[in-house]
Amino acid sequence: MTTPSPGTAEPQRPVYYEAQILAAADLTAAVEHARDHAARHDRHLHDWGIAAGLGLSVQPTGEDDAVTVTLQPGVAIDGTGREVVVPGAVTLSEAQFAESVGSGSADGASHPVFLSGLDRAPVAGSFLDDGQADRVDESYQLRFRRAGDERLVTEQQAPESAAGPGDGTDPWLILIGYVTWRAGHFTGLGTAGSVPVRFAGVRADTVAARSGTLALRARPEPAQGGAVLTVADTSGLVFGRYLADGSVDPLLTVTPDGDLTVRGTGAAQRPGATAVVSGVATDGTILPLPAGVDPAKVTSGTTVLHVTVTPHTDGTPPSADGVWLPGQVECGVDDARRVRCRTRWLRIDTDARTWRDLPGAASFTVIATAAEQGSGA
Amino acid sequence: MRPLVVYAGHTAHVLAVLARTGPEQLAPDSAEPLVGDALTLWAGGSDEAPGDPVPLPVPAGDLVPAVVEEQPGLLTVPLAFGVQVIGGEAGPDLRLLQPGDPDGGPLIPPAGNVTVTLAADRVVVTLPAPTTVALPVLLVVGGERTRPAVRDQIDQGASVKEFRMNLEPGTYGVLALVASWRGVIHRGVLS
Repeated sequence: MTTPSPGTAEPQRPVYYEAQILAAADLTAAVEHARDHAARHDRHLHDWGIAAGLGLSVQPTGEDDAVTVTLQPGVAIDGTGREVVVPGAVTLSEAQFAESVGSGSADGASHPVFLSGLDRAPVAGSFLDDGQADRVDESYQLRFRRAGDERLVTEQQAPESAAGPGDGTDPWLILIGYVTWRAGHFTGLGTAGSVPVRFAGVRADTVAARSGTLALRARPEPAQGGAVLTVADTSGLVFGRYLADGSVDPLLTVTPDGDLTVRGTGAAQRPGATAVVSGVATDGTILPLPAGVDPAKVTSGTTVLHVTVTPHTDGTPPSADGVWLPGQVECGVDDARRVRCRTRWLRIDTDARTWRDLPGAASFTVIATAAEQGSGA
Repeated sequence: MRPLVVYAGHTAHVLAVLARTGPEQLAPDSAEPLVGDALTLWAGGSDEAPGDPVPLPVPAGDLVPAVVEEQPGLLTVPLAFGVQVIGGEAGPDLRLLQPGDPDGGPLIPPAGNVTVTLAADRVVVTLPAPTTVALPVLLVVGGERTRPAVRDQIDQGASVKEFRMNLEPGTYGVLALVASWRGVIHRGVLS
């Protein structure tokens, strides 16, 4: 029989029988079994990182450019599957930074700040404590390192597949941000170097919704303007942006029947196809291209534009006095598709040749035709 | 379809409108796709000051795009409308700038609006009456040479704002935008 190496033993679940005398180890085993199970779940079904909160914020101290750096409360999962909880806001210690980094800092350099979980014996509560610890504080530790040491994050090795959570003796470094330092004080938050702050993720081959609609978005909350991708039995695949009321303004839709609708100019125009946009524009505006037309292809001549503008005749005379007749002086577009529309108003109820030129609006149609493959410029 | 407008960020005046057929359009992040580097308005010729139009470029950096509710007269006289900016965001409803004309609507230029006068050493923008609150002003002067757009304000209790500048003899155009008042394009000749 082979002896398993640490972390490779099969999980063991305690069971009890009637009238069993339970030792501390029996009860501890029950707790450890559940804790190990949770850690394996967090480690294998999630990517480790910050799960909530744990942002760094700064507040000027009023002393030159010195700032106070505060870690906001939050929760992270480390690479061993250990849950690391920071229950309240914490002010970062300048003394600790000076001790651990000290002269190794350079002005303006971004120094990584790490969080790691650490089991601690609780502080003695009364004189009745007999020295036998019956609790463990699932605490944490903050560490500062020199600029460039953020690479340590990428060099960490996950424990064996069956192992439980780490106890902090071999700390798993969770990067929560960067700080800058000068003359014995924090001076601000540093910029992320080659290693960004890492957030917790999900590992799954199947993600399924129960409501009939599955949403994937780039932010925790559905903020207005935020991008979202939804899959639903009824509407199919929709990419769009959130509106103020929480609904989605669709930019790309694939219905369950396979019909594709695309807004915007990113969709490729098939060779030989014609695309059209029309509307009304006032003087000075640049006419839009039809959806799917690549501006670079218009510039290169592989997509040809046909632009028609028609001046609006319901303009406004220069004055309420008299009778004025409009006549078009100019109505067209320049090379940049900018509308030029000018109306000359002539007063006809007097002998004096009174006139004025005013800007106007025009209806437009832009037709884009893509050259057939092989026939383009 | 709701129109897309470009408005002056300093005074909220609508300066250009694009209404496209088809699905609802979203406002781009900046005005540049709609106007390029600058939106060039112009002061047209007249029998009193004939000649070519005087360009009045408003830099794209002074402009903001927004999708708004359709409004009668918007395409005809954009300068008669202002965007309502609340908390830094443009609301969808436009407002008709004063002096409103209860009979003719927004189309016919009403009496009692902001006036512009030119002198060799200044451009003067005058309100019909002293203002009860400070009003932002955007001024663009074009002509013999085009000057950069100027941002300033008419102070509380004042009705006049003088912009000092040396103007040589010639034909000039002035775009004067005073917040809450209909925008004015003035063309004049200095001899």
